Amino acid sequence: MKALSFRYVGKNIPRNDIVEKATGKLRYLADHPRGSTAHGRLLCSTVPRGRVLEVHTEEAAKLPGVLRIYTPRDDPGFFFNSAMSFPDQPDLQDERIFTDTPLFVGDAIGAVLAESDEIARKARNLIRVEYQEAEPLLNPGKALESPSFRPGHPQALEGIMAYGKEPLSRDGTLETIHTVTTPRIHHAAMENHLCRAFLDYGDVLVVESPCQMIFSIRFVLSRIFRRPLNKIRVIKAPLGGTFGGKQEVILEPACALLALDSGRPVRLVLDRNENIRSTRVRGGVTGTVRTLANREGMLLHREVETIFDAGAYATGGHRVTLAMGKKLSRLYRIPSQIYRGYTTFTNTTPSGACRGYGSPQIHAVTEISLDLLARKLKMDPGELRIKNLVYPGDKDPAGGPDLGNARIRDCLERGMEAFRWKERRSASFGEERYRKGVGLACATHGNGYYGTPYPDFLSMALRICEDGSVLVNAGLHELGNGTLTTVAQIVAEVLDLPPENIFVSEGDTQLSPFDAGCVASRVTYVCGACALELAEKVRQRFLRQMAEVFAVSSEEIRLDNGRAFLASGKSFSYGEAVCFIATKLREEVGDYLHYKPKGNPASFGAHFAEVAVDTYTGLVRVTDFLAVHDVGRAINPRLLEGQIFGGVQMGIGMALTEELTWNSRGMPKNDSFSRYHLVNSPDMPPVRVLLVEEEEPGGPFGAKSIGEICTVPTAPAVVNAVNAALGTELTELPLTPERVLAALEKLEEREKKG
Amino acid sequence: MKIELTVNHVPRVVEVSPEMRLLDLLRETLGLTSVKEGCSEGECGACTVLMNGKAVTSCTVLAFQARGSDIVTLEGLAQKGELDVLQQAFVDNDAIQCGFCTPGMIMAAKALLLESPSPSDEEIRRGLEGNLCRCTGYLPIFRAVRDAAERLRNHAG
Amino acid sequence: MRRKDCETMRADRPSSLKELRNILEQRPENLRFIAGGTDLVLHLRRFPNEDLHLVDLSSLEELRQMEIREKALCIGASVTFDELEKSLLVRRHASSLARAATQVGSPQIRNRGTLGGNFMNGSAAADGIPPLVALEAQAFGEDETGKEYRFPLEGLNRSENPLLRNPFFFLKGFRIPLKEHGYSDFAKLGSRTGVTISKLNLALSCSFEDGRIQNPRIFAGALAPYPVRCSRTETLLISEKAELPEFLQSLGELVRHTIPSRDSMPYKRRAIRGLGEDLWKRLQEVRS
Repeated sequence: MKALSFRYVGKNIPRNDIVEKATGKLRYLADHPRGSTAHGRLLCSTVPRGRVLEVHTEEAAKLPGVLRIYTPRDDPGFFFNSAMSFPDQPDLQDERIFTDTPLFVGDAIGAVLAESDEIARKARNLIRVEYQEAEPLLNPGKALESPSFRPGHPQALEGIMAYGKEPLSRDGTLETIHTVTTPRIHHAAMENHLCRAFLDYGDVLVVESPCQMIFSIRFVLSRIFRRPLNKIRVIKAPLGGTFGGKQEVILEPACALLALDSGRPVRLVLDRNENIRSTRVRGGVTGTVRTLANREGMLLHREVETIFDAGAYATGGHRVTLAMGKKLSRLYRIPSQIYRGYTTFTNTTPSGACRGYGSPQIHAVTEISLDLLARKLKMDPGELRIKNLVYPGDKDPAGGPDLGNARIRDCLERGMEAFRWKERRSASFGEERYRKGVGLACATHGNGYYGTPYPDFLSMALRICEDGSVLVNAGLHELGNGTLTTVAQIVAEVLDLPPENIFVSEGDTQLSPFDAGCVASRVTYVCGACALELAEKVRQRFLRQMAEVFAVSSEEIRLDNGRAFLASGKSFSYGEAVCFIATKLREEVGDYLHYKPKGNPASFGAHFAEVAVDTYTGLVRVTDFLAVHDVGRAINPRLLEGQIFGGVQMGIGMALTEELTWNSRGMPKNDSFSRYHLVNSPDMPPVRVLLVEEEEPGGPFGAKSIGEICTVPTAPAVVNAVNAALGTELTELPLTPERVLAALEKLEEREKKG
Repeated sequence: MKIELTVNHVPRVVEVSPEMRLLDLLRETLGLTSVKEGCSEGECGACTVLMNGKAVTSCTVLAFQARGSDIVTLEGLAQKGELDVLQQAFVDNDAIQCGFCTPGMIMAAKALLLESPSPSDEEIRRGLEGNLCRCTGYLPIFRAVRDAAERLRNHAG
Repeated sequence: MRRKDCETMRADRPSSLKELRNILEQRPENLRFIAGGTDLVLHLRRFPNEDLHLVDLSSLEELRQMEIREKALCIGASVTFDELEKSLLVRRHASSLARAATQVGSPQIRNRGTLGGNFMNGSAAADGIPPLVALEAQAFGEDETGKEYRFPLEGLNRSENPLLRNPFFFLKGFRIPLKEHGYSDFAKLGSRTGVTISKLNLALSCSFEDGRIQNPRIFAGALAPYPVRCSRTETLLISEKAELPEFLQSLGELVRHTIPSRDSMPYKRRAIRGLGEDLWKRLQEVRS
């Protein structure tokens, strides 16, 4: 669709709920009045591996206000996987609600239900648990070779991607091998996980959750509690951030169990430290890259091997390993590649979905290595990439979906110019103590599930009401990312009325049509396209109905800003027209659409970072940043920019300060914000954003995703900048001051010798 | 124990237990749910309120310590249904995404502007260093605070 | 101490020292003083069944004064870091303390955290202590009998000090002797720019006479349980021949000597040079 000027698309329409949020009126799940709700708190393992011998609850049970104490005996005995959404998925099902063989510190072994949260916490503190402890498995490398601590399940899973053949001749080639490690990350959404459940009219189990996939929750619960899907109602609650952390089915089973057992509405909450310990983390990766290139910088062959630490349970861990492999063939034209991905398990918090779903890790591995290859070739890192980046229309040699209108070259070239890359790169930076450097990185990510084993489809309903206002009924999830606003803008553009007149619903499994979820960067490209097509369908229907009612031809009717104009000069508001249609035709002005995407094009981004390193203290500051993204079309530029700012904050954290660690006894070392450092306001650099809008076919008005890719090239750009500033080869993320100084010391020693 | 304090410009007499936090008093007893609990240890700033004009994390203040104090939460900013200048600036500059850090962030910004009506960029960053945000990357928030400061100056001058 | 059914937690918020003394005369069981509160509130959250008698010191106006008395700057124990940061008196006579205060936590923490609380918590990383020690400060307080005590901060051994182990002892404030042409400075190393615990800090105090440095006192904090004196570095500072490299070298040596087998030693040994250089440069600016 080529329109010369849009009324709403491309405009900075304010978020649909921004005023509610600014006034504090928006109620998140924790803000609802208590009423008769009972309060649940999880009882979690304090040992990383072992068996629960005995749970002494006598003292706790005596506390007035305690309703029930749950132990491993109360587990329904059904093994599930919190990342599954359909029965045919092959993921290993090794999770239980309450386990008697905890596999990490934080693993749920029971719960306390009480009249108030205070009583629940007090009772919980009076419970004494006896464990038989076993030696925890903590190192992923060792874990790969060790016997499995989950009986009946393998300790390692393997995924392979390969295409082409490695050239036999080494004439005129250069080879590099690097190993890069990425840290385990806490999502750090400001709202902790929580859940509410109760039994409702018609014996329907209602679960309210700030989540990303209502239908997955319903599926898992129906399995565990053997309930029909239409007797489980999952409602998406307003959500205070997720970044993938609330994508899996984590608290809902326990909350449902407590509600079904007690007959009371139950609220189950986690504090921050419980959240860090007991939910999910971004899995850490150790990746080794072997690259073969010719002297001119053309990449000939690449081999990547990754070890992914999935933590204690399967969850979606191996999916991330497979997702990582898929990205390797979609950024550069490399004639042959081999990827071997290993997923292994340690007695630590399970890995799950986290913004980028493996892309940040695999790009850190390959983009840092690529920069070191450029150094060996004595070539500018930007130039090296330009020689190898994919072109618009390229196919995926590994067999994935076509790349579509791939504009990464535009991103890189425009970015290099806007960042004054060549100038900054060649300028001699800094005095002795403070050194500056610039670095860049490129990345790719997808737009949904098409072409993967997971089904991508949805349906939507849309109707125009008797007063001209519009209702869009879809199983959507607003994460604070602008889902509802974007869909409203698209519909507004097609139906030609202001977005404020359009209400877009959030998901409710009892009432909403199916949607695969706000995941996999599919909302703009897939849900947005569905909304567009549906709005078009309703528009055509509306015109036909008006033509019939007003006895004109539909081509003579012009729609403009909520009014229908006839050739005769008469005009009617949409509402008036809807009423005429209702009384004269006895029909609704609305429709339903089934939608499935026909492609999964790539989104791209290039990030540029300037850093200043204090070579005395090892502290690194990012002093300037540019993010250039191939977005097809920006439906709402300011929302898009906001996503990018947030993604950059997350990526800088991954590069410099964020790392979840466990001690040798399997205890989490930094399960609080005082020891787990996000980038805070003093350290956020200025970030400039450039958008490449060349339209992606299949996307609504040509738009494609930004939500995840905006955090993918960030960390390698920052690391590359530090390596450029110091001449080091830092490959262990995050670049803590200790690691920076150690690398400098190593460099100094090498220089002394050599 | 009963304590007297002023909350959002209204004198209140409330029953508190010794270990009750100011956060619990505001959210549970007084129903001021704009005050969010994000970390329970004073690190994330989501529970920030004004206490005698200064920003404090209400999760680290015990309720009885607030006896005789003047507490203001986000609910106390908007007068007669109109948005406070800061709130409007947050809206106009898209300084809100998921919204969970927003009440604490606005109160911290309010405290900053009360003390420094014309803050430099560095002062803004410093004034908000106790408030974490995972969605916006802070940059639109800085813009909003600068914007609000300017509007207040224009209004005053 | 777990709660029995008949017991409940108690809390007092005395508004005068007289009221406080009345409370202490009763020798209440499980007494815990609270001021800025963070640590205690976290403790209560982690151990919700504890039975304590809380006494809030933050409300005592008498402990929130900053004034010059008997040739000393007297700072009350309940003075907050925000007040220290902004006080003209402190900035003039104990600028290292003001500087340390600006780098404690976040605005919310500075608005509530007190110098007395900082001291009584006994954390090795407490930022308020090395400046006080370098400035030859004394602490003064009272016990439940009303007897007043005064003791120097330098060389204080907490575990063996009976005053600090008496739960009824409360700190009233600090006395910092005024120096003519006095100068003091402070530098902190954390894991980031703002809102960070000290990994290492340096406090300096000296005076000038005819442009020459007299009586330098340099203490390194967060290295050991109490601030460590950098005697060799002080000597270098007085000797006119010393240059920056030796100055920094001596600081590195101090770290190696103090924590030889700690994992963080290789890092801190190098990183302290950053703090040292900051102090040195600012010192040179003031001299010129």
